[in-house]
Amino acid sequence: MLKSLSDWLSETPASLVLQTEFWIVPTLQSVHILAIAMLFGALGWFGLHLIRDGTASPDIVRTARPMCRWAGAALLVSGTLMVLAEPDRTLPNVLFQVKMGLLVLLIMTAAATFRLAAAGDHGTSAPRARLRGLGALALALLVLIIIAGRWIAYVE
Amino acid sequence: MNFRGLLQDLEATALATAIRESGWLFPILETIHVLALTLVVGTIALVDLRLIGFVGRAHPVTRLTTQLLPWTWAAFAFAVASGLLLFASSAETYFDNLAFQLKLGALALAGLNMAVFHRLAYADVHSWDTAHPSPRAARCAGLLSLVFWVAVVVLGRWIGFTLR
Repeated sequence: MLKSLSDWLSETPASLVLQTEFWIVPTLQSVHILAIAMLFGALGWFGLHLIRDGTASPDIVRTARPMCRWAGAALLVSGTLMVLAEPDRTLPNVLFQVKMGLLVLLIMTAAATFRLAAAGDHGTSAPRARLRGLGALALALLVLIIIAGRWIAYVE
Repeated sequence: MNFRGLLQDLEATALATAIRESGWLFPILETIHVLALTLVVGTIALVDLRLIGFVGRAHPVTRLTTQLLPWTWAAFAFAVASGLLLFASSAETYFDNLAFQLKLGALALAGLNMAVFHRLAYADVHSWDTAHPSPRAARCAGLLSLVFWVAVVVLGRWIGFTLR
C-alpha cells in the first residue's frame, strides 16, 4: 500500500516540481537538520534539568516549550516536503516507518512532560521521579529519531 | 612531500581504507557527526538567541553558558573526531570540494567570532548578565554566531550533493 502511495505521490505535479529542481532537496534537508539542532538544544536543556533535578523552573518551561514547538513545526513542514520530493526513498523504507513511530511517541512524551513540568507542585517524590523518567525518555527518543533519520539513506 | 601527497598518504592508511570500504563504518561515523553537530549548533543557538533577546530573557547569560557550554564542547570534540575520520576516508575528494572548503571557512569564522566575543563583550558579562537588551557587541556576536553555524550546517549538507 505504501509503495502504491509513493508511486502515486511521485507523479503529482508538486512532487515533480520538487524533483526537477536540484537545489530543493539539499535546502530542505538543511532546514530539517537546523530544526533538529534547535529541538536538540531546547529539549536537551529542558530534559537535562529534569534528569538532574526532577523538576524545571517555570522560566525554563516558558523558554524551551515554544522553541520545541517552532522546531517541531519546521520539522513537520520540511519533512513533509522531503517525503513529497522523494516518496520512493522514504515511505516504503522500514527505517522511515520506525522514525515516524518514534516521532509519534516523542510528541506524546514531550507534551506530557511539558504539561507535568508546568503543572506546579512537584514537591513529592512521585512527580519528580516521573519527570526524571519522562525527560530521559524524551531525550532517548530524539536521539533514536536522529539515528533512524540518518540511516534511511543506507537501508533499503 | 607536498600537501596533496600527504592527503594521498592519509587516504591510504589502514583506518581510512577501512572506513571507505566498510559498509557500516562510514554511516556510523556520519551518524555520530550529525548527532554531535546538531547538539553543538542547538546549544550554541540557545545562547545566541538569548544574547539577541529572542528567548530566555529571564535567564542570566552566565547561567545558560555554565549549563550548556560543557555539553557544547563535549559534542564539538565528537564532531571533530568523527569529521576527521570521515575526511580521511576520501581526503583528496573532500579537499577539492568547494562546499567543504567553505564549511571549514564558516567554522573558522564561528571560532573567531566566539574568541572575540569572549575577549571583549563577555569579559564584563557580570555587568550585563541579566540586562535587556544585551549590549550591542553581545547581540552582534550572537547574530554572527547564528549566521556562521547555519552556514556550517548548510554547507555540510551540500558536500554530499557536490562530491565528485
